[in-house]
Amino acid sequence: MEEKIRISWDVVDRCRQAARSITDDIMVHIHENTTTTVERTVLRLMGIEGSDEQGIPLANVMVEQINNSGLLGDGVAFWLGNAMQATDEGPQKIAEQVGRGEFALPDLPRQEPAIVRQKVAEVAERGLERIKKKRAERESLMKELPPGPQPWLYVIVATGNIYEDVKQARAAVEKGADIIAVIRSTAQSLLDYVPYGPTTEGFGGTYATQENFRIMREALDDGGREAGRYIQLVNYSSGLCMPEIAAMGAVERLDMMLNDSMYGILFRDINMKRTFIDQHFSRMINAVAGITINTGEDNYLTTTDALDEAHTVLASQFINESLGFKSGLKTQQMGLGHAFEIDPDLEDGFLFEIAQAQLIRQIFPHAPIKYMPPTKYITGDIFRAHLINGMFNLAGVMTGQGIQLLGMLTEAIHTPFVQDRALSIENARYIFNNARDLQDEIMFVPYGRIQQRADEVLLKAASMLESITEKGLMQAIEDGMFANISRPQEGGKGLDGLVKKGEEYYNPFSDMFKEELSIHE
Amino acid sequence: MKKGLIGDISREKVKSVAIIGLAKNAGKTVTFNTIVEEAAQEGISLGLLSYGRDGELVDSVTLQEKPKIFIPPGTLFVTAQRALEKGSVPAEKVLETGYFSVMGEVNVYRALDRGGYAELVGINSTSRLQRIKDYLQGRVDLMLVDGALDRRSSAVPTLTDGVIVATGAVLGNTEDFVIFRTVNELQKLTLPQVTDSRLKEMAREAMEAASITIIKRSGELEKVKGLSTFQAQEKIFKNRYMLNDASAIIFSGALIDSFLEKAVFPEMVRDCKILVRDGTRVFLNWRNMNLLKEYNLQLLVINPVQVLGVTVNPTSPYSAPLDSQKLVLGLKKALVRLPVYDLKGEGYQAKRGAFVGGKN
Amino acid sequence: MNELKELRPYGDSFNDGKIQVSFSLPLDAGLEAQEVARQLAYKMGLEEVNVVDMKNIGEGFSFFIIYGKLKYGVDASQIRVAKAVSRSMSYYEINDFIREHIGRKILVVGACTGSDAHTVGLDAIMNMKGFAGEYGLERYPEIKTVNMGSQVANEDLIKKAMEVNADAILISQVVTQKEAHIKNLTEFVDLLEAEGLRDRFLLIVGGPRISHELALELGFDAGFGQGTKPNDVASYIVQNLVKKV
Repeated sequence: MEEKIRISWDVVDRCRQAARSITDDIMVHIHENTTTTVERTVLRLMGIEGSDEQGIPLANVMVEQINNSGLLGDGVAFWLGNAMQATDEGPQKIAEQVGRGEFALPDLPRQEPAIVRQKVAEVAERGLERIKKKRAERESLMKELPPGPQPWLYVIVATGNIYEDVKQARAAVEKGADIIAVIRSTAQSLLDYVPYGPTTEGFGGTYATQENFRIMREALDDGGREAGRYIQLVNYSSGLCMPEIAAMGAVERLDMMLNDSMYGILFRDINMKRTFIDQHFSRMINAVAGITINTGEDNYLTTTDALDEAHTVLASQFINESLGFKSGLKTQQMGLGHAFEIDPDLEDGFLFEIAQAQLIRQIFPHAPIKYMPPTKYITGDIFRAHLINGMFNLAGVMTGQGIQLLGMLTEAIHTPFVQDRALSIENARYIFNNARDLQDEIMFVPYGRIQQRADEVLLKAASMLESITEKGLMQAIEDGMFANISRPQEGGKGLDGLVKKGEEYYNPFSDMFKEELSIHE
Repeated sequence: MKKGLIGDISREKVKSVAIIGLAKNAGKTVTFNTIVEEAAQEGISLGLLSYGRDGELVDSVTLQEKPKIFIPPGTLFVTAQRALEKGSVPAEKVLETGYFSVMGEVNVYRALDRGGYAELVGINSTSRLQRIKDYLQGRVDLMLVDGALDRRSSAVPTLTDGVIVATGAVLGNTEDFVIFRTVNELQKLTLPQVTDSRLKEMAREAMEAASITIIKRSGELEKVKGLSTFQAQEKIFKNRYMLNDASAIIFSGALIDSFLEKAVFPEMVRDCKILVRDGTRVFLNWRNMNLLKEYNLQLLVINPVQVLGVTVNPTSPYSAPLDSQKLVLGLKKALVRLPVYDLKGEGYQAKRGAFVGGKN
Repeated sequence: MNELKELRPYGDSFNDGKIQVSFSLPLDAGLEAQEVARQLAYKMGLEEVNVVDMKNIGEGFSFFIIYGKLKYGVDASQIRVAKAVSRSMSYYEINDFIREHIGRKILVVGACTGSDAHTVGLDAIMNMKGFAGEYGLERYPEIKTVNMGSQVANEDLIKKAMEVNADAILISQVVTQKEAHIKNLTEFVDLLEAEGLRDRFLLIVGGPRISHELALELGFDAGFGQGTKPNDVASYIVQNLVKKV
């Protein structure tokens, strides 16, 4: 790609080097610990399903039981295997018995570890095969029905009822959407369990459940076949159950997952020590499953000034990239996020948006950059919102963004109505089509405002990253360096789910994934 | 011999009955109205109040109209002034409670003439309920307390002598599931009474002295005080050894899941008694109730809740109706000696038809 | 003044009543759908209905843009907006009231309990910044607050309230249709009753679907719904604390 703005690659190298050193520190912590949700993910991948009579998933019941007895450092896989060996039953049967209170896992006598591991490994192998099969299925479908040109049109559905979501998603596909995201029910990210079954009520969104994933996948496969292009499905591998949802997405062939290393810490007040571990395991799953992650830096601009804090977005992208590599993700799987959030009343604001979008495009040329629409300055004035969304779409097509999350004219009023979505797709299609090759005609003036702005953002990102290398990422977050939000290292939700690995810690999937992804530690 | 629900109540010679629902829409008010009607037929004088209702005649959750309550003549009842004015029952004020409701002053009234309809509002805590009970005692044959939502606290045995439990399709989507959940809830409510009189005496004293008391096999007492049970249990979480060699654990307040999950089970406490005041203090899930049995941990109460009967509503606003027969028979089988009725079902209606004389 | 008696929208001349509406129907675009849209517009009170645009928007849905003349007017001279709370005091009044009638700082503990994680409502009432131009409780010099955030277990809330010797407990909840949250709220009150602590606190519940009536039924002392401002809650607390003492 020809350089439309000049990039100081030496500064980019400094950024990447700093990011590597920052994440090296984090990896030490990650390797020493596990979390309750990582352990629940292991159970889910071993095929354990269902809930107890109060609707608490059996995976939660089992992990809690082991954790309360102080034994989770062994890895829940060991204790499941121990029960399999002791009772000669399969994982699901054991889960159900434990759920009913027929016995508790720690009560069973300890079996020979080598035999236990052997037993677990056999079941785990099948779990991995299931994920790989889904990946192959996606690859062959994408060959058969290639997705449309980028920027891909990404829209959300959020009725709360999966069956209504299906109707609206199919309508959007018919209108030209490439990607459908099912927004989760408000605050599902803070549930420390994942519900089961199809769901028909939620607030501001629809629960992420495995059954809901399956229902939407099937509908989009159908819709895609009719539309003649593969339709990608998105959900959220984030919050307190980040890796569990990654596992669900892997087996139901989701194509993208919102998955950020720091979003939950900053915006959901989830404990950072826990989040870093969860993001690593979930990213390994996404990597093996061939899922593209979407990172959440765009959110920083909703709590701070988009003009002043643009460099924090770039800095965070380098960190997300580095942690992604260390979890086995390929660049092509990294939908790094940013947003069009500069105050629309600012003179030349559009130029600064272009500068940021172009800068990020050129620094991460192979990543499918995720571009988020304006939200912060959108009010109930739907006519103004529709126009600002048009400017956003123009910025997207002229800087070659990968994933264009379409703005809705009714942002800040309600979750989109069926016509809101249709209008926003029309908006994007008109502009993308009308200015399709504009980017090829553009070279930015060497000492112009856009070039200068890009230089400034990159330099600031480098100095920010270098200052983080000194204090460490956890301290940087505590100091409020991202999104102007400070989070204490020992605070936030889910810290009680952080567990130090024991000498004999066993997680069959971690080992298999590393081999599969050629991750060497 | 008196039939139907009033028969079950009369046989046990109770002076006060609480109707509690296992969920909203389980049929509490239908149960309440049935008993009122039957009692009036039998010439039993009543004191009526509702535990928790307030405001206009619409359900505050579903915005549908609430079923009205018919107040027979001579009945004493508690409600607020404006609620009375909105109803049709002529009444005289017999006591000012000093409480206030959305609908004005809360008073005790006596229904005059032929009675009439009214909404009962204004009492929503056990301390207020206790005051009303003190007043009604001796003035009526039977005090009847309608429940609110799925609240249990009106069933405290020191407050009401007996309980009618309303359950129904709203608890689950199949007959078996409704039966299962009903039985589980009843199991908690009707926990057996401690029989060892020495232990009972010790427990009574311990409940006054500390939030949680552990009696060791040696006879030694470990008193764990706290601002509430939850502070006290926190102390035990940090010093789980306190539970070693426990022969009994006594709770003055609530027993909740986390105590078992974070202390009793991981500390491998076995063959031990756990004592609470009564079944309304037990907040445990099914798994933990089962694990108690598994580990031979006996959950006992000082004051048992006397459940007089169970009513079942086979319909639910959220799903298709369930089979009334199956529910009634299934519950009867599971609950052994307890009477179970579907008050709107044909069986009950027929029995009652003979009894009330074909009244509509 | 008289021309306000029957006021209608202004398109391009006084009281012409011209408005635009848009909506979608679960019907394929076509003459039938157009007729449905037109009749709906009549039922909305429009005359001279003109369906200016109709198109398919996928999956059997169609979208309409309609112009028409509204036949109704409103007497703009008679409009009085009712105040939501009759005795809501101001920030200054409340602080003065506490100094005068209570004589010590009062303490409020707030939380979103159970699985509820919608802290927006709680934060609007409790945090410094407040809501709709009204300072949050945290800002009141005479009120001390503890905001426990979201997903707080009932027992933890009670524990905290006892520890800080709270005067009032404020729970923020979104009540769902299937009433999952109701169970959590009633359990909270039953837990307090089981502990013998019910009468120690003013219990307040708030949320978009909470009414005062529902709150009482749940066993709380008061309930606040949509549009509640921090001073409404504070007024309730101080007025009732005085009664309690």
